[in-house]
Amino acid sequence: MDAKAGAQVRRGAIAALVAAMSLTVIHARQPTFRASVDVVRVDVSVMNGLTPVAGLKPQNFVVTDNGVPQTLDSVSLDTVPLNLMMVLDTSGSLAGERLANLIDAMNGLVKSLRPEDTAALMTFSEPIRLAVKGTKDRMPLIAALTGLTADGSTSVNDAIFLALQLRPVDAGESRPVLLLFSDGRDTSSWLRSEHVIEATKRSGMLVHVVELVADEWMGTRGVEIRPSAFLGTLADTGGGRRWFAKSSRDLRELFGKALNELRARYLLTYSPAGVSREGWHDVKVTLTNARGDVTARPGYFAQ
Amino acid sequence: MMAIRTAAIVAVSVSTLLAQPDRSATEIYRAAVAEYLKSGDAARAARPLAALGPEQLEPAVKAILSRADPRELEGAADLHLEIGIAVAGLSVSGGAAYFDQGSRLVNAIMPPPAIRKGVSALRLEQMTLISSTWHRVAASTLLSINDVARARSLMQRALPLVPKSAEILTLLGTASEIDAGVLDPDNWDSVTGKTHAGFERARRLLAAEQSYKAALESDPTYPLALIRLGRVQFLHDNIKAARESLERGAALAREPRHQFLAAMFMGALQESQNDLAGANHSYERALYIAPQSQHAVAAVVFVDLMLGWINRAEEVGRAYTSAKLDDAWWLHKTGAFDVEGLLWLRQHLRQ
Repeated sequence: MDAKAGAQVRRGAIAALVAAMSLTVIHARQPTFRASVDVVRVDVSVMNGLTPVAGLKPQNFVVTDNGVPQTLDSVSLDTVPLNLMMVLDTSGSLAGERLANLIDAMNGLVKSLRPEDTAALMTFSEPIRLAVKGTKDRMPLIAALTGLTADGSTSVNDAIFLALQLRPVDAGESRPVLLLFSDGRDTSSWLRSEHVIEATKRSGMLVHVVELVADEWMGTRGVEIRPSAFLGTLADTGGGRRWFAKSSRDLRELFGKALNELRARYLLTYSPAGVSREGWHDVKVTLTNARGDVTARPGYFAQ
Repeated sequence: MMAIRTAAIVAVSVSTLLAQPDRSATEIYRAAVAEYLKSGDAARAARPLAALGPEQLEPAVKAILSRADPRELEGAADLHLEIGIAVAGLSVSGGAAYFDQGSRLVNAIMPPPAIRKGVSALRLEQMTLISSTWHRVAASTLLSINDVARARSLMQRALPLVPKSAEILTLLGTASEIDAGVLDPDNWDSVTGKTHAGFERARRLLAAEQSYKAALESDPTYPLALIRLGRVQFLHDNIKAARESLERGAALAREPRHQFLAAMFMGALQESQNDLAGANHSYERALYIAPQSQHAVAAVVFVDLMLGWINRAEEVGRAYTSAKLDDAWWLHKTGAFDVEGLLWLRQHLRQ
């Protein structure tokens, strides 16, 4: 910790520390249930190599729900505003240049959002905080990004899980997306990776991952850093993609690519027909009379 | 509602600093220690120290060490501990420097072996208790923020004084358990990676189990060792033994944080057995004890989700992530922080 940061920490500590372990009564809460699924929205990426495939029509998509072909109500491309939840790792390993590059990259992304897009910011190291609630105003986001500091261990599992719970109750005409940035494996969560994957299946949020993987790093406690298998599964389950950064200097470009990819996705909607209403639904999306690699959520959970 | 205040250090007073332009760091520090000994108010005592980092305090620490006044040493060590705890929640590395200096101060309370014969057995026992408790609290602070390496270093300083301390042995086990938690074999794509992670995880869990069993040999009724042993047995898929250990530990637990951990670990066990209602009950109990625990929130929300209580899960998740971060958030998170030890040190200083 440098002298300036040290002074800040001391001032912070001496300004505010009241540590309390308290017992408070929490209100008894009754369970409430969400209405069952009436309309299913499938966020689909169609790529030809590294190039998004544009110009596809409803008749180019074949969608099955638990094996039953469905009739699409609508297909839209690049017209639906984003509802973006940015979830950023600010653990100690990001301190210094890496954090500066992350902030720069995120500023670039925020400034590239369209006026109708909504964005929120969650940060995590050991504690998890919703720094900015969903807003169309860019100033609070820029201000929060500017003030980021990096310290502590990594609660990536708990952070993703809690971020998934913050998805819009009614997304309306928007596309809920969780964009995760992390540089390492979990070191301090309660939840395990399988918990998070299960929650991702149920959330309906599109999940994109940008992972910083640098070969020369050794993680905490002698654990070698390699791409996280969990983060790959997370992106697959969330119907999104994962990008690797070999250096934090690449982050600006990668976040730009992630945003472009989001703009080039199709949003398919259909009213499920011929399938049971509750439980897990396998969804498969294929193309007909068109070419491209399709990426979409593998299904959804209806209750 | 019951609240235990563990540290309260208030805003830097510019006027205080301006009023003392010519005082050396040593004078300011000694005055702060005297104030702490007199009032027991860490917040008030530490106020003039806001502008001084550990490096500026070093000459003052040396001065107090050379004076070798046991009461001043104890007051200075405890003040360092309070500041270290306060800073640790804001900066992992920040608190460590205060703990290093505090450790030197509290170690100096013990007379050198050559002159210990002249000290009464009762006094020696008191000194040992002060030093070992001090190191226990500092180590538990670092474990609460997952700084395992520094925590181990502090524990190793206390262990020679009290080699059979159930508390210290349990902390050593907790360090191994935290280290094991980092290694999830499923997080590796390669077979080599999975094998290595699985082997290392098992080795560290075994070390934790041995430490807890050693603690229980020293004190068979120490609830924290029983509860933590139950956790490790659960991680080893020894469900029956785990349940027994957790139930025995919970029955013996009187401290809120021990009850909290028993509830969390029992919840995990119940969840693994698909007893979601039981898990929900246990996690809710943990959340009741420590409403700000991030772990308890995550656990409750997940089980709510599995039970189909989606709106409720979202409500709890939103409330937690949107609330202002308590400066002491980390004290509630893992249940590792030794609040009882800190209270004992404070009480001893008052006597």
